[in-house]
Amino acid sequence: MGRYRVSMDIGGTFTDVVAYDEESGAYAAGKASTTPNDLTEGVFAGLAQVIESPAEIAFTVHGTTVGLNAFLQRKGEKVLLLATEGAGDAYHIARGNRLRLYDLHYRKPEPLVPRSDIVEISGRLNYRGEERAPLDEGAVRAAAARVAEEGFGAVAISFLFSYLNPAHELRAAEILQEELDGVTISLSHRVAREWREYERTSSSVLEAYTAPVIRRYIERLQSEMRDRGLSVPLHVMQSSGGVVTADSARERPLQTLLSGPVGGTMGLVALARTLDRPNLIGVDMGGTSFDVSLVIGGKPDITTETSLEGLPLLMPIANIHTIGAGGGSLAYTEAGGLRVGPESAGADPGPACYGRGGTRPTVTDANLVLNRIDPDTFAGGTMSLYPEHAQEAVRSLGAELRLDAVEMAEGIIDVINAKMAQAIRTLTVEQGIEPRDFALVAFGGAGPMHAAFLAQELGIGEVIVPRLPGAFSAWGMLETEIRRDFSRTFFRRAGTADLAELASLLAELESEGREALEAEGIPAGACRVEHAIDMRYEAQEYTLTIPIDAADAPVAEGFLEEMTQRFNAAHDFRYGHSNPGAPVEFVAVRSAALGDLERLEPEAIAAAGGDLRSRTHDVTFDRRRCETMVVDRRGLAAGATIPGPVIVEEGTATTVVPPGCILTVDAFGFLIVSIGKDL
Amino acid sequence: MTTTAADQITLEIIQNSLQAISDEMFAALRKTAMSAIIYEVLDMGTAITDGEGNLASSGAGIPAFVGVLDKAVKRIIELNAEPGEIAPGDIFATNDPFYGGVTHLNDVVLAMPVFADGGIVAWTANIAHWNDVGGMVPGSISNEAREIYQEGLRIPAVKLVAGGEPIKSVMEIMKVNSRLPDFLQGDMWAGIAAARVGERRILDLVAKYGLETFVTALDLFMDYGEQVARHALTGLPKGTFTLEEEQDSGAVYKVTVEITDDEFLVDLRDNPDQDYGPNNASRDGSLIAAQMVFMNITDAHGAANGGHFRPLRVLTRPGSIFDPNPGAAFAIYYEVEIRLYDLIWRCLASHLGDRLPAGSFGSICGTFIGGPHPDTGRHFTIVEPQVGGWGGSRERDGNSAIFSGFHGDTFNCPAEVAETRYGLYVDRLALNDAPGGEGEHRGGKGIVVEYRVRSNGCFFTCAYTRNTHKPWALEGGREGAPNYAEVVRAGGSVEEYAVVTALEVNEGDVIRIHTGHGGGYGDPLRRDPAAVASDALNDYVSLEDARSLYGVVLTAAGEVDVDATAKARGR
Repeated sequence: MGRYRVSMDIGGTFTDVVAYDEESGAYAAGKASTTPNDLTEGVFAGLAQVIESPAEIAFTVHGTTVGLNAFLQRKGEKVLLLATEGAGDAYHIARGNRLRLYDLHYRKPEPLVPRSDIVEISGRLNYRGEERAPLDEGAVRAAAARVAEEGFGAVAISFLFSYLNPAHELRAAEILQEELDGVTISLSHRVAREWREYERTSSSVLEAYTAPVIRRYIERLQSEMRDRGLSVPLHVMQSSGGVVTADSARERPLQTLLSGPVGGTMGLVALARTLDRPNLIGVDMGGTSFDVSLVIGGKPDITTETSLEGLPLLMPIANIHTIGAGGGSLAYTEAGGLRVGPESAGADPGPACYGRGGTRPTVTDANLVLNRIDPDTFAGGTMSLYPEHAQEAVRSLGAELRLDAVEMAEGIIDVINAKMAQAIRTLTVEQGIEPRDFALVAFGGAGPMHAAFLAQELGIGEVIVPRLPGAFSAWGMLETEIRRDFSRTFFRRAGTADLAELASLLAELESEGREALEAEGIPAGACRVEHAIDMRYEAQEYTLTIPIDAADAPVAEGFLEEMTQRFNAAHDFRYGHSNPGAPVEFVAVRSAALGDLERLEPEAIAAAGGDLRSRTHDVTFDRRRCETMVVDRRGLAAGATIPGPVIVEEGTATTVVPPGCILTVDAFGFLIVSIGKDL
Repeated sequence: MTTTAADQITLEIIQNSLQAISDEMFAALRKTAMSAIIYEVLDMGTAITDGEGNLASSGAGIPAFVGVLDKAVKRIIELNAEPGEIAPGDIFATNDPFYGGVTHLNDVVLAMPVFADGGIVAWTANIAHWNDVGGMVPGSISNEAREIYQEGLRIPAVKLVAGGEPIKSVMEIMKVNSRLPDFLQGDMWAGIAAARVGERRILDLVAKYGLETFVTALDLFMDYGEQVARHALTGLPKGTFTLEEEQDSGAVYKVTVEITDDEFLVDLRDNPDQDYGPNNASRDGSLIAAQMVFMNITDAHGAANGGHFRPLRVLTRPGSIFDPNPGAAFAIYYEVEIRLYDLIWRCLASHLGDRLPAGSFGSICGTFIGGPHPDTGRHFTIVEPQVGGWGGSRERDGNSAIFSGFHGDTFNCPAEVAETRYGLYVDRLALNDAPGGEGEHRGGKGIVVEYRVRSNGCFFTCAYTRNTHKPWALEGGREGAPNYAEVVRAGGSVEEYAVVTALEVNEGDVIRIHTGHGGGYGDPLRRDPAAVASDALNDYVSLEDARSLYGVVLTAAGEVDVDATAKARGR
């Protein structure tokens, strides 16, 4: 049996690997360039840095953005959509709304399936889920023939009222499976068992469009891992913050669509607990993108519905705001002004200083020119940098604006910092949330280099740099639980509902949940199932989800009174009024099966005696060269306090503490930077 | 006064917080309302004003509602001017155009003063379409009304809640006047709750940043809105522009717009006398039509506040259709207001470069269907606007199936929701395949919706415009397609309507609604042949129309026949 728990986070530029040694309690991180043509190559290059043999691995978890990237680049699968006769245009008609009220040049989002690839199939259910007209099986077979002839890789099936009765969708899928091989079939009722045909259709088209890409990728990763002697099951991060086995993820690939960045959010949750700081803003700055997410009161900010470039997606998802800003963001001039990003140099050629042929300056090149990065120790010394290429790229852009190289480099950093500060405002200030009440957690390879400047801009008093900041998302994945969500419609007036029926429905969900956890490899003792029910006043549309204490609670005395009272209280809390005595209805039950993976607590570091390895460098801050101490993080002892300017180096990241700020190291080895008023 | 970077951030936080509060009120109202037209269609709006009723921020929803709430609050202040008459915890209600209601009686405004240090520092307000406020027909909206008294209960800017305590007598009068008293009560509480959420959040802001900072932030925000508008004004061509346009009713509407360096003047004085029926827009409603065009032109990406509209002036004539005298009926105000909006837009479109596209389907297409639910026997009422096509512009084709510029973040009713709630069958929900709107950049497509009626004794009411006078084109494009409704009787006969009131429909009858395409922009013969081929593949244009209207000849495989196309296009 292996001794390591391993997580792998594949970003646009770097692949991060974190290993937790169950025997010693130590973490180790590896980092390799992402290998776009064969992503597993990068994973194993990173793994090789921290683990000698794959046989030592007991558990693996993985987050990926391959599905999301395929969507963003519109490189997903070619999808044929089967829709109910008469309603085939619902996907193109959408809901008719627009967000920009006064913009007559507003563009509706471009659907992923053109009108010519939508096939109407007759067969109709009524609003109770009863059949009005039988499914036209011949039409389904004809559609199958078209799939084969025209090379569609996926079919989405979204019939009216399938959320009540999936029989037609299931039968159509069965026919397609008889007729076709290797084609992804996405059924709307499985993706989102909720009413509103447009949103459900959009969700299932999104799944059909991205699933083959995700599935192929997971399969390849699984088989590569087997080939390399790694036999433990692979787990995949879901957008909701829990994890599932890879086999389960292949069944429901949509759940993993935004799984990469969610690891960071779950890491924040763990951090909030460990550091007893309930409000955290997480900023993850890597090579290409900058992600902001929040933990408020110790809980992740999760929504049940989101949209991707205007296309709705019904799915529980951590709220993450992303902009194109990273170490690889390219600087250029436009109309006489300086612009930075969103275009990135990516992994190949990468920044000019990588010496892979890039000639345009990036944010990383600018940091190098300012001496904030040491070319000899970058990425733990595993990558060689070429400062002369960075100098040349920055200098030649500066010439266009009549700035010297140092002025140009500071300009690039100022512009990218302002953009990132604005991204943080979008999730906080614009939602009425005061960023000053939060601490800023900086991670990703480039986050700690910029965080102090962002904090100053936003009036935030404290920056926290976790251990292994370059691999924080990967670390966060090790800090989560197995999670499977289940729901069923239970649309009844509360007063006349059969509570024994509700209890048996919950019992069914409970055993379904436990089975699912068992299939995920969780021992019975580590399983728990949490139940809740959506409730509302009759004739309302929106519901509140009210917890139910246990599956057998409905048959206990006073259940209805208790639930009604809880609902009234929740309504009053959320909306400022309630209507005790008004009839209440149930809408749907929701169960979450959670498998405890045993939380890992970070070990404390030595209080003193570490050997503070330091040297000094001239680093530019605010146009001035400052003699700056450069320390190796491994030598920092708990309780150490160092006034800025100081630079802390480690394998996966570099933390910049500008003049006027103070660095302290806490008992767990976290870097805490108190932000001065003027940098 | 110089402001430091930290002050700037504080002001920005307050301003953004106000936006967030408006949005939160919007969510609270939407999520607790009982009428589908509120929670599904979002026929509603929320706003915060300063202590005097100047618009400080508004929630999502309908542009045409954004400008209502400040006018309502100002009127409430005017009509409740006795010292002490407005007290903390009060909530006022109004729905009548002569008492600050602006639109029609179905749209009920609730407004709440926010007190700090003994004075009113702000108001929170919301407006929502209540399904039935009494009157001569179910749903309260009739094309036959001749006086406002026939359109339902008038609520004249009176207190509904005093010092936090609901006034039972007022609420009971309101309920007893509605055919759907339970819905009315639910929607009313949703509105009260939303106003209170806003009040609480504003008080938090004042406590955190101090009253003076809060007030300063509101003032500066409005000054900033004015600056944006004035800056945009300097970029517009100056001059006097006029347009006369005949309406489906035969009436001729006229507008003169005079743009100078510091004013945008809309003169509507030379217009017909007020309508004897319900086709009137209040003066405030006419002002809102002009405000919407002004926003389209000057700050299409911004959020409106009172400052934006300082350079705008609108002249109307009392007793005219755009400024009627008391007693006039208003139920169909929205078609008058959108016609006026479209008139000002059309007047300016060809003078403002690429700022304004060709005409859209340009009607609310308000559709009312009601009757007994076939399964429960309970009375249902659908009150729904429709989506249609937008006009082509200099850069691109118009959007298909989207609400008019009068609506905004408004949602159509999904078939699954309609069938469940109303007991109708939605047989068809499709893009409209009729010709029209061709151009170098074509108009977007309208839709066809078919409702199959399932019980006897139901009614259908509609009042669509852009029926005989179709959506207008620009620069040589072709006119769009018209808006109309057909009733296909169970026996097979077909009737066609643009305006009809309380038409009886029975089990098996199908109400088929057609909404128009937007107008085309530019000569169809200049359209990229590849775009025409794509339109043909997607059934947006027939092969015959591709050849005859676009001069594009397609092969059997759907590809452009380059030689034949060149010949057909005369080159």
